[in-house]
Amino acid sequence: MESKLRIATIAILASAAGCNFTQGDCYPVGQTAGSGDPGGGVIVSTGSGPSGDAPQGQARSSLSQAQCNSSGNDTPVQAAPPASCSISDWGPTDGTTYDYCDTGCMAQCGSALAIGTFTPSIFKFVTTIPDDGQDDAGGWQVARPTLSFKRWTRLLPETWTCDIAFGIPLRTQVYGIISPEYASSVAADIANQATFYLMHHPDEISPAAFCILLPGAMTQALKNPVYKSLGARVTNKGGQ
Amino acid sequence: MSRPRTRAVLIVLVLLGLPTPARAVEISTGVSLGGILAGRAPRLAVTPQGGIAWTTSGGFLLAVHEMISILPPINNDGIGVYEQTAVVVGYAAETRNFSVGPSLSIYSMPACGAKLCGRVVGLAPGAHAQVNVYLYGRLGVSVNATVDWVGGRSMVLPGGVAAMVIAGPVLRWMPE
Repeated sequence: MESKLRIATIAILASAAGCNFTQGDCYPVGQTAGSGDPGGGVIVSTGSGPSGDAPQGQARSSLSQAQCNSSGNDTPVQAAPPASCSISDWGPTDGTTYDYCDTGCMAQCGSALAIGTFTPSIFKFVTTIPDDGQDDAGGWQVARPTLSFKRWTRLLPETWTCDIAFGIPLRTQVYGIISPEYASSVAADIANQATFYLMHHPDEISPAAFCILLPGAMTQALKNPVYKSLGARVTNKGGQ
Repeated sequence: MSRPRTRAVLIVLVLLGLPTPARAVEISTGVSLGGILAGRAPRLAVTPQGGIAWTTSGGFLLAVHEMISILPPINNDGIGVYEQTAVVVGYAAETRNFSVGPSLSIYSMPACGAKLCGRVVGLAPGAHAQVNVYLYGRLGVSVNATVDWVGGRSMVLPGGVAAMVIAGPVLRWMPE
């Protein structure tokens, strides 16, 4: 008798759990319902890769009812989203903040996305060891940016910052002279790759843990054959 | 008598026995104004409300409370309606009463979440608290606060809470 009552109570509570759905179309924040102006729509660009890619593609002003409702079996995204799903105008993209979008981008692309990514301009390299011209490689330059992150996967957004030090030689055997501009573009790309990986981790990583894990994730990204010969290193801010 | 049966009888006796003694029934109604936070920004809510309460001579109160919040339109999406029914218990004195209890809300409202806006329809369990203070005879002031769980399939409001605080005049009657 008691167990039946307990089961009934649980059933009532379960049935009373919140449920909702979106009725009709939905549209990105900042637009209005029924906006027919294609120029005001979401720009679906063709690339989510290195920052600075110009958005291209069709414009959309709203999403269908099906896109505005979850199918109920969404799973955490493990891999990079399709290249056609970078949404460039859903948030501030000043290059200083990595803005991670979950729900809106799931509706648009079926996967979560980075809306704003780091641009090279935040990595300001200064020479710490001049190149003596000896050997195959020489010198050392370091950028110590404070990287800002914004994650909006729940009701309220989370923001935090991580301080890192990104060091790279002034000259390498394979690449020759490494200009501060090139170093900045490499650092931004690596930071974006590592952040994307950490943001998509199945277990949502807390901001504090995120800052601890970020240098390691960036170091891992530097093992890519494209960057391996650069000899770059990433540590926490005081590390270099 | 077995334990479960004893417990059930006690519950029934409490429920049936509440309305009968001493201070009878109290009906209250009013219109309140306040704000609701469901999504990214708080919004104005105009809320007609009413309730019926049974009190005992000891001050124990059992009430059913109904609120229908009208939310002004945003983004050409039309007005919103947020209806809430609560069954509350509390304490009642001569000129004031306080009650708290579970609630269930039904809503159809335009809303903006983290990245998307649209009309969201749903059912939300929650909790409700109310304080009524009667200053001039039957006329008083009512303050209500609610917190609801608004999750579901909607990508506009995929999960989280809706909080509402409203206040306004309230009138009461105590039928003989």
